[in-house]
Amino acid sequence: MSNDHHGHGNEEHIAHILPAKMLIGVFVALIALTFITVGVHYMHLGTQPGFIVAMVIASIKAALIMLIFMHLAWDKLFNVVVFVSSFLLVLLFLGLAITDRSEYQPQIESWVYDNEVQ
Amino acid sequence: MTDTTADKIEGAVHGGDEHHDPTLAHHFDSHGQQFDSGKLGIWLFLTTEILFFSGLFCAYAVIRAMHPEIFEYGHYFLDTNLGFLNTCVLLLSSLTAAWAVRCVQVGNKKGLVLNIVVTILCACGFMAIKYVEYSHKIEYGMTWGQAFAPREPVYMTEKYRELHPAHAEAYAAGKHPETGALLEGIAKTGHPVVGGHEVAHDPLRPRNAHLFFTTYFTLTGLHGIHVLAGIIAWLWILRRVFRGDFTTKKFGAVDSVALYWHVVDLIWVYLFPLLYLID
Repeated sequence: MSNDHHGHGNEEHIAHILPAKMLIGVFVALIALTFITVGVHYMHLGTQPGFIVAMVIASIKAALIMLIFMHLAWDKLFNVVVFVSSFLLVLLFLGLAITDRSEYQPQIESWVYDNEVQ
Repeated sequence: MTDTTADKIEGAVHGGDEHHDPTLAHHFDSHGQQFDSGKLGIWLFLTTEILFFSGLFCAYAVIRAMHPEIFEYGHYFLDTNLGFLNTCVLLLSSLTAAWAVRCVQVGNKKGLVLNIVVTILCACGFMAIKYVEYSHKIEYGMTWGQAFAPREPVYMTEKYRELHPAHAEAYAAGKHPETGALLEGIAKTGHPVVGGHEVAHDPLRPRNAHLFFTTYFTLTGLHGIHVLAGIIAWLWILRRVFRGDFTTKKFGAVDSVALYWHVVDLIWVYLFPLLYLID
């Protein structure tokens, strides 16, 4: 079944139609990436490298879902900007919070010492 | 024949012999414009959803950055296989959601109904697996905040025994795994009781270990609420399909619910490694 509707009388082209093969192909890729994620976990690379690899693979899966299942590859650029900006803002949010994380640690440590160690 | 006021307005706006498509709202020039307007609305909503979850992800990031030992301890209590199964179930539901949109675009009503039904079934399957996980945790006292009172020490969990069999044996025998010295407090003489449950003494448990489960339950709980909301939305779409609301040119609602569903899947794609695949 063709995914394009060219010149069917007065019918407008409302939105891109995903071909069935592409749908299944992306699904198979996502499942494969999930297997890879779990497989890498069982390789026990260590906490830090394991975390980075897991996040990279998760981001690849996210990109596939966003670009194809959510049609972003064929959507108006404005919608892409709107959605991608949310992730940038989240990064900003987490980034600023993490730079601040040790701010009150000395006070916490002294409280713990006073109350629990004795 | 008596005309109602609405009929009179209808006649005045559309003139006598103009063809009027009832599925195209008056304030839009074309189906394409109608569709695009709806799209922008749902994308804005999805942006707010991402930001909504980011609060909890920020809490996760800060707690894990400050206390990695809490997460290294906590993850032994989670079943990676169930998390993996949940991921696959949600990915399948994403496929059928995207396929449902394709079906409505090409006018395939049977395929549309089938795909929506499978999406709903997958969502219910996800909730069922979540229920199994949650009930096991609650039964064994692995809950949030002050109620955290695990019945078994971490070295008795399957995952720990699989990954560190020698350590698990040593701890179970009351000995330090490296020095072989006897550990204090591995009580054979009775466990302390917290909130009606016996709490296993666990030399490996870090201070504030309950924070892992607080994070786990809030993150997966909020996600679960979104899955439930998605099930309700899909049931409503199914009702509208049977009512004959959708055409190949007017299917914005199906597309919107599918986009929402993909965001729910997206969140889980990140939750799975963050909670279940900690090394």
